[in-house]
Amino acid sequence: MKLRMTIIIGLLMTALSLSAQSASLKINQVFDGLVIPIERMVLTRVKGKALSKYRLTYYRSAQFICSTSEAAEVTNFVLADKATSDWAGLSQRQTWRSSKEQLVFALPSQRGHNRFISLVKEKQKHGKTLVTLIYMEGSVGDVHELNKLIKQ
Amino acid sequence: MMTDYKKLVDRFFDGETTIEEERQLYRYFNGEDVSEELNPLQCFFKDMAAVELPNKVITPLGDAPAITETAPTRHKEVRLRRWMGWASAAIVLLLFSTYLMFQRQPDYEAYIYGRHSTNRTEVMQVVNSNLRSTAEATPDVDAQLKDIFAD
Repeated sequence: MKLRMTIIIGLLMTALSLSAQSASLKINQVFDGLVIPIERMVLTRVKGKALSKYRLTYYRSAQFICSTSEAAEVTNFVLADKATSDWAGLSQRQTWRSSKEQLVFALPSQRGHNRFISLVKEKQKHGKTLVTLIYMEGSVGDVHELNKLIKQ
Repeated sequence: MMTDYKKLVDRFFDGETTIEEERQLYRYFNGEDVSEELNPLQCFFKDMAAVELPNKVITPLGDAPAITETAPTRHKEVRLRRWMGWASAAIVLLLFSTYLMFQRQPDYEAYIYGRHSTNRTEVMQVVNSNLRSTAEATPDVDAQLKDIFAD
């Protein structure tokens, strides 16, 4: 009986962990509409063959125009997730221009998938910011390779 | 009486006996009162009884109950109960998998300012545009210097 229960619980946990992709990331709060209401965002979620040209298997993005404080909140979530990347010494790229800031970095791989987060902030009129937040998973090796594939 | 069993044996070999008649024969041959004429067949019928009713004890005629259940039957019941447990666990897992399958999100999905879309073209347009904007912001020293010192 104990063995049976252990096996069942094990299988359920596996199923749940598989169904909850990247569930532990802070940026999920943005994707779930907890920072900016869903009505104010363009949210996308794609998986499968359509992403094969980028050597990705899973893609999720949120794009929205927000206030400086909201943009700062989103940035803090991204930086919290980036901390794991810094610790693991993974590839990252950061660019800064007065009108545009961008940060792309790799997260520690999970279940054989390399994971990336991209945050682009572009200044808009009236002190607003256009934020594009992307989470990606796939076999693409690092940030630079991903960049090359997108540019092709 | 002996003639009756002889006839029954003949019918047995002709394949005409009912299950109850066969059990009657097994009980007869498991007893002590087997006639000399039928005695050579006793061993055969004992073997047949063992094959036909492996979990039963055939007691001689007149003893009651004629066929009693033995320990292996109880083991079988325990095993059956265990299998039923596994089967119910499998059903629970199957239902859960089905639930997860129906919960599965489509491969292309977008919420465009609250409007839900699963149109591949529309979704991929957003994806490609976002990815391009990611790639455009590559380290561009000229643009950065211009931004800093333009004033």
